[in-house]
Amino acid sequence: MNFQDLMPVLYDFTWKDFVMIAVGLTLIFLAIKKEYEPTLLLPMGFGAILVNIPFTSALTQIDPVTGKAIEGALSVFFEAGIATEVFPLLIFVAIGAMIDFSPLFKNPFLLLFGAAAQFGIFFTMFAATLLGFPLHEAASIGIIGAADGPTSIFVASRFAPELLGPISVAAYSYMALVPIIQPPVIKAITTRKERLIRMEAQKKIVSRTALILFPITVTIIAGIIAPSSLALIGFLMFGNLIRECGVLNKLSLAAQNELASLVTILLGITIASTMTADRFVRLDTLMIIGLGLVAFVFDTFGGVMFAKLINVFLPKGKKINPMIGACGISAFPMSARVIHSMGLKEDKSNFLLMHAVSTNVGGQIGSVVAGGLILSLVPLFI
Amino acid sequence: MIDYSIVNSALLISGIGMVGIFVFMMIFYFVIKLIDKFFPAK
Repeated sequence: MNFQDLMPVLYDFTWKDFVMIAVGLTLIFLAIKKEYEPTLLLPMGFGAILVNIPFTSALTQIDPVTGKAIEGALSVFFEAGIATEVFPLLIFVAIGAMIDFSPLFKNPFLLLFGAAAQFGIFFTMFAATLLGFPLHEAASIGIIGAADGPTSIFVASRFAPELLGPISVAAYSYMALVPIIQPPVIKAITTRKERLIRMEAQKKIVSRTALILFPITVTIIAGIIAPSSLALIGFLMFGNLIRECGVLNKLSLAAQNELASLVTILLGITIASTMTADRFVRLDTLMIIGLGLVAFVFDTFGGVMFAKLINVFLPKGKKINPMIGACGISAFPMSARVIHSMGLKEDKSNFLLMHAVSTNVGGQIGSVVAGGLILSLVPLFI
Repeated sequence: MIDYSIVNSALLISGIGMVGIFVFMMIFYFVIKLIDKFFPAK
């Protein structure tokens, strides 16, 4: 017996495995040191190391003696939780339980910015097809622009499970980088005069009945118009109903805390099972990371330009601060905070937070609707 | 090599998708208005 028989792993390492281990270490560094979405990036980073050591038992391997498959835990988790879309849907229950829709009732018009700021999704999908990606992969890449990790995972697991790793890394990394990505884009397309626009504060109390009826009504309407989107929207609204009903406080807290934490751990490390060197160390990965940035930039562009367009028709004194449009993405409450602090930088007495939060909540609905529409539309064209 | 039939499909999906999101949001806007009208806070 020679040394190679004793330590086969050492002889089976390739440079690509080392690249992936470096990627894993980078994700762990970003999660711990920079606190970039640590709940997802840390499990994904560790998982990337776990699955790129040759002969890892975390993934299903073929026994060289018997020729039979030996199931690996992460492969089992993937089949059970990602391929079936169960993990992202459970995350939606948790997110639904965390969302307070009452800011939308104060100014429902701001919902429209949750539509405009999804522009990056479709622009990026179009750009990806120009780069040669097939339609189902382009749609999965475009959905990075939803700025919503679970929606990205849900759509990618349906259309392009082989791209799940890079799409998830891009989605969560750029969500963490919203404070760096959005301000320069907003400044480039707005004037100082526009950024100084003040908006009237909305003071309104919303009834409990209204907050209970909203998730039920939205689910029924979404189901009638686009049944393919029903799982996505329905689980989100189910979580919200648990929160708002007022008789399931224990379940609401469990969904917001225990369920969210447990599924996030499983989701992160399971996605890493797709981050093997042969799938990840490719030119496609770099293109996906680049297109993800394009998606976030054009989301911001779409939201801000829509606000500028609306302002053309609004009378003086009723105009909307166009920076608010950028909050129509799903990165909550990060985007609202960014816009609020940008407003304060321009004018220390201009408080945009309430409007920004309302728009940001609209963005959470908009991103899920966009995901549902992509799921409904793309199969019609393949 | 760009497959222009795919690019055309992507463009069409983008158009329908953007209009679709606005339609959804308009419906949700009226849902909120209606719910708020019939079930105001007391």
